Amino acid sequence: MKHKIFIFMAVLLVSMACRKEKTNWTSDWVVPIVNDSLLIKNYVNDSTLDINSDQSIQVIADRTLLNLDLSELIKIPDTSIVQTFAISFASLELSPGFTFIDEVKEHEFTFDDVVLREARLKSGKAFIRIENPIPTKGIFTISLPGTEKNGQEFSHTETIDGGTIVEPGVGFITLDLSGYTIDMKGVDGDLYNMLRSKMNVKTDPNGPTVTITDQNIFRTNVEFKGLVVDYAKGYFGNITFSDTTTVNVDELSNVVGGAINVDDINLDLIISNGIDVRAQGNISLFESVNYSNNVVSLNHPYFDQNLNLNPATGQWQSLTPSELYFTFDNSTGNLKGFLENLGSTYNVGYAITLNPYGNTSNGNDVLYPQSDVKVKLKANFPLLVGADDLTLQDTFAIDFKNDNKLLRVESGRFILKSTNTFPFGAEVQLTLLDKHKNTLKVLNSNGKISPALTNGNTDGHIPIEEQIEFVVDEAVTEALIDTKYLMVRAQFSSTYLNNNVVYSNAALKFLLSSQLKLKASL
Amino acid sequence: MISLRIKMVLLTLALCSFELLNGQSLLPVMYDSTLANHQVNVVGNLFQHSTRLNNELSRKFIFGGTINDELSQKVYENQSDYNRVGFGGHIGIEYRAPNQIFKSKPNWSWMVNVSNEVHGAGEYSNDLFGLVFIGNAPFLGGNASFTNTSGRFEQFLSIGGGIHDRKTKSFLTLNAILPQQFFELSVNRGSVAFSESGDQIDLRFEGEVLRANSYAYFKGMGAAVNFDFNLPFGNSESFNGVVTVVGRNLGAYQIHNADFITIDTEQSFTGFSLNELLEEDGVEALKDSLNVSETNKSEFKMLPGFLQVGKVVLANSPTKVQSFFGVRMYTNRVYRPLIYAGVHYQPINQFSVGAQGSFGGYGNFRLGLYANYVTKQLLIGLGTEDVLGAIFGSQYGHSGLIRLAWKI
Repeated sequence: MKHKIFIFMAVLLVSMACRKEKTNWTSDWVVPIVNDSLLIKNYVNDSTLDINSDQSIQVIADRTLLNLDLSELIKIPDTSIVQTFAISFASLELSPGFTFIDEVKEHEFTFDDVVLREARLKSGKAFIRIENPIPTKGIFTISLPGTEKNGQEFSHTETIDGGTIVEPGVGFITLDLSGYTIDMKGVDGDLYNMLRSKMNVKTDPNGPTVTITDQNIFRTNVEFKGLVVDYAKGYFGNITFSDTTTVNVDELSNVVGGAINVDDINLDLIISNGIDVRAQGNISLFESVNYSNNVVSLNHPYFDQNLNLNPATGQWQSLTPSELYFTFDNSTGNLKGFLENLGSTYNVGYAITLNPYGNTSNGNDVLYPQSDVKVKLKANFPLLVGADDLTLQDTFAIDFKNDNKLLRVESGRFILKSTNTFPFGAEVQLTLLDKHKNTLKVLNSNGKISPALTNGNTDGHIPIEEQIEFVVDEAVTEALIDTKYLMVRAQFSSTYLNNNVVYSNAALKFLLSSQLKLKASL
Repeated sequence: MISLRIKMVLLTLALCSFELLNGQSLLPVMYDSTLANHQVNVVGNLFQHSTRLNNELSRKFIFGGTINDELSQKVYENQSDYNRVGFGGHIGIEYRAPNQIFKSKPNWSWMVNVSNEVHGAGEYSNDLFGLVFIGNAPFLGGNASFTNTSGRFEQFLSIGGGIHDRKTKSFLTLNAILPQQFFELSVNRGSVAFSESGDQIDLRFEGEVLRANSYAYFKGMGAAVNFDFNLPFGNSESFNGVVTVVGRNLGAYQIHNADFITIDTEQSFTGFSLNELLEEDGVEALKDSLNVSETNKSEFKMLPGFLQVGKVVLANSPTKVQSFFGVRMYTNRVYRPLIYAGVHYQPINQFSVGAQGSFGGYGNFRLGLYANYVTKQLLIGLGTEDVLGAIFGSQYGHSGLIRLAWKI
């Protein structure tokens, strides 16, 4: 019996004894990865570039370096006002529908150094609390004389339940004041920063006859919150805006080496005053900081001087800012060296003072909705650039998922096909980086993209079609397992060192594809 | 070469991997009408069968190894527009008690059984084979179609019990089905076209995937019946014998909370633009455009059961040579009705051999062999339904069968 049990078990164990090794095979795949075109024409209509009659490209740039926040210039603080009303008799019998009107009252907004005669509210709300101390419903009408919108005086009517002296009926109202213009000159027109209000109370026409005394006080509490002005007239005070602002040019942040040569450059740095107020401008600093932290400060004979800025002219839609120009060309200061520094960060130091000589407008400073105070940069010059090993570098997060146990890259190549009509060529290098951005493997191409040559008509460049390859060998496929970032480094050189004209047909069309042998394992 | 073939035969017959032991039990049964006492049966089976996947390739999946480019190309060229493949495995143990349980049925007793079953079946085009094993190189400037591709893989445990007739050996058991793995793919429409230079890919895909994803050990639950009904026919003067109706895993189960993924897309891809690469969600946007919908649902699925009707051989026949034949059908659309016929030779009581030919199922013609050794208490049966497949790499299937019975 034991013998037979042994045979029985032995067959079972032999049946379970073996184990299978992995099944592997490879397959070849040709797949596009990146397909795109950089066309100079795409930048022509966005106020950066233009095309001259000879098809050459003209740089026409108009960029705002800073735009002052004028909301701080005239800021109406949140204000709470209380208006009370009581009869002047010891007592009075009120029949249903009896109306009595309070006198117009004035409330003053508190400003530091600003005197407002008129203002329009862009936004803001009034939160009103009304107390009715008589034992019948009261119909309250709140109006703001001199506060109008489209010719209509602000007015609001609300019915409030009756109450007693100790426990008056209470009503809450929220009013939107957006778009209202306020005459802030007071009842007699000789004051400023004033808001006028009036209250009208009517007893319930269907209610009982009630008796009130001078102890019955009708009380209104109005809280103005978040009032923002988009038009104001008055004296805006002697105020100075000064700071050093930083402007980053992302397009140049990837430059890590090399040089450019620029010629025939014209630039204007402009301080623009869009307020009808006298001002002074001062540019104290304009410096370029490049990839190696090399700093070049731009020189100009007017820098660091207080220069007068006239008030803006016109009004409302015809408002025209006054401008203060700092003009640069090849003969002014060190503009060429400043630009060839290839700074990706620019620091601008400025000071702009309103009413430097006090209230010379006699309270007629005017802020319009479209008013602004800006520092701008304008350029208008032909694109003549030489590149000498100008090196751009960028890093992308990427995961090739080559640690996939089912499918992984075994070998192959990346192929870059290009058609270039720029007078600049490039040598491209790919670097595989791990999660800490340490270099795992560098892939060099077997060639480079050549710069294009000018055609016979000198109105364009002759397209050059080329193909370069990056070999993916065993070492690369191993590195792909830990690759989390791909660093692309392109080293540009121009056809000539100087004065390379860029024509309107300039384009770089490229297709990056892969020819990979994938290994599957099951 | 000869030693290699012998090795292959031995490997197949010995069912030397645990995975190979999973399968249906189809070894020709010798009908024995003597009364049985306690009996423990262990049955194991493995099969793999295809219309166009030759064994040189399929052995790389069974035993492992590298499929070189030459083999991939050769098998690809042998594929037709429509191809089928199936595989399965079964290991089960059952105990049949001798105790009478019904007064009026003295031969009826109880039995219990447990088994583990794996089954896979699929249908595919030659283009799909080419894409998977060669890549898109053969299709540059052309189109690869994989419309009407389907595949299903599942593995489940079956535990149950029932009654058996100690004399006729007929039985009926009711089993609980506990699925552990399930995956089903169905492509209604699918094609991919590549430009000559490989710089453009046009994809059309409409299909769905149902995948068990529950963290539970068992991904659902179901029920199935197994049975053998042995029916004598004829008389001593005419052609006679016993017809057995075999049913296994006839039932269904529900997959709980399975991932249901549908894809309906028509895309042309020429590479990412720089903006798509630079924008954080640029590549994700492309994925979104594939119109992939993922939901969870519970769904009933038919088990990969089968029904077989055929004449069996008799253990105690006065003749040394007997015939057997029949037809077998699985409950899936990939399987075609399989017909089989064979000859059984029993020179002495303790030993018998047989051979059979079959056509259909997941492939075409196969030739089978088996041998049984019987003592008073022990039965060992080994066999294959595809003896040529065990020897030649040019064939399209493998099969291994084992039955161990211990009569106590």
